[in-house]
Amino acid sequence: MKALELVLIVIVLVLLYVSLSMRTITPKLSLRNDYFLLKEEAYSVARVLADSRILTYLMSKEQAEDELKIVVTALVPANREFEVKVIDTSTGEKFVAETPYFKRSTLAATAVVVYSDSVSGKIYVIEVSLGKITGG
Amino acid sequence: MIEWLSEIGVAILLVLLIASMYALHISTISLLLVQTEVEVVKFVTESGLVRVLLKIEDLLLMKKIYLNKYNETLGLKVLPAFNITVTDNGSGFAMLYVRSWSGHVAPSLNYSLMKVMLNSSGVERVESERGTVTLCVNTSLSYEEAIYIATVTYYRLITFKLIVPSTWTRHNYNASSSELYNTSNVLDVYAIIPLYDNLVPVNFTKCNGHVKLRAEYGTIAFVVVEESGAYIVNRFPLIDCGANFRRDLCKYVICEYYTLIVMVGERT
Repeated sequence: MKALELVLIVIVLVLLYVSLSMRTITPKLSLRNDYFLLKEEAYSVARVLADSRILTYLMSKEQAEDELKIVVTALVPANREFEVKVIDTSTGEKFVAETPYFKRSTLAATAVVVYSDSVSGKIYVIEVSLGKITGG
Repeated sequence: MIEWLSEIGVAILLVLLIASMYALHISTISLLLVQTEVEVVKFVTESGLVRVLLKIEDLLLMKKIYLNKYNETLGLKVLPAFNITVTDNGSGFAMLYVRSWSGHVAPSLNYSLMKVMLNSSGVERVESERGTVTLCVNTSLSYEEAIYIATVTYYRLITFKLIVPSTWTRHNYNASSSELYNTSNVLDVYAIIPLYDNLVPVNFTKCNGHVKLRAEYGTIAFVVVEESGAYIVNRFPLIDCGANFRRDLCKYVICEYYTLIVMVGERT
């Protein structure tokens, strides 16, 4: 009988452990999937910015950051916060555009794409971060 | 002996009771420990949607995987990169609307609008117009039952929308093999390439009761003129599942010259 009681105690303890760890497993699985999808979206936006050669024309304008923000706002899916950094590798100059609440994102993913501009002979590093604000 | 048996019986009942309580608890929070990937992630990895540069064959494969395996659980849309519509402006002329899918307005986009009229003997006439658009623009093309090909470009970002009356469309073209399964003698075939202002004649060869078309890179559809009449076949497999679903993933893909958006998510 003692063995049976021991088995019972072990079962109860295992189930207790499972139920307690469930609270941490659930968000972890969800986060992993959300992060994967956000990363895919961020990479595709960065690739569109590079492949469309928009930067060749945007970066030569006076208000490059504002123009960049307008373009990225149009490209990014709804309900996503974003931060875009375009770094001119020759001068180290950094152009940043972001939504006001990007810093409040509870989950964010970043994708980096290099764009070589053959017209002006410059190389830009495009860093697109997309974020989601979840929870209360 | 009976005492032992009753002890074991009670112990088993206790274990079953505890197990059933936990099973109920797990089912209510809808979590299976073995499930580490949601359906959307599975579909994205399986269909090769992790890439951005895709070929027509990749889009066809994605459509096939979706229809075979994920049709019941997921929603899928493959659409132009911008939300493009052509409507009547109220005075009989076509009006072009362009927005991003998030609802924002992209400024100063270049557009071209081509209108193709068909009749029973073939292509009646082709008209086109070019200009710039911010949200909407009135065009000089009259609005009637016709094929409209709207092309919107932003530097090298090119996207298109093909609007065809449903009675003018047929599905007898296999894009992966470039074969057209005609019902009568094919007289002429024209390619619709949004970058050009006119239809482009296509070379074709007849073989084994069907027709093999030479599809030029960038062709989105063909206008086929058969003895029995003229119709249009799509080359680009744009998909709209028509169901309500959560937009879990909205990513851009580039296929040939064109940028498209892919929306995937669990059905609601």
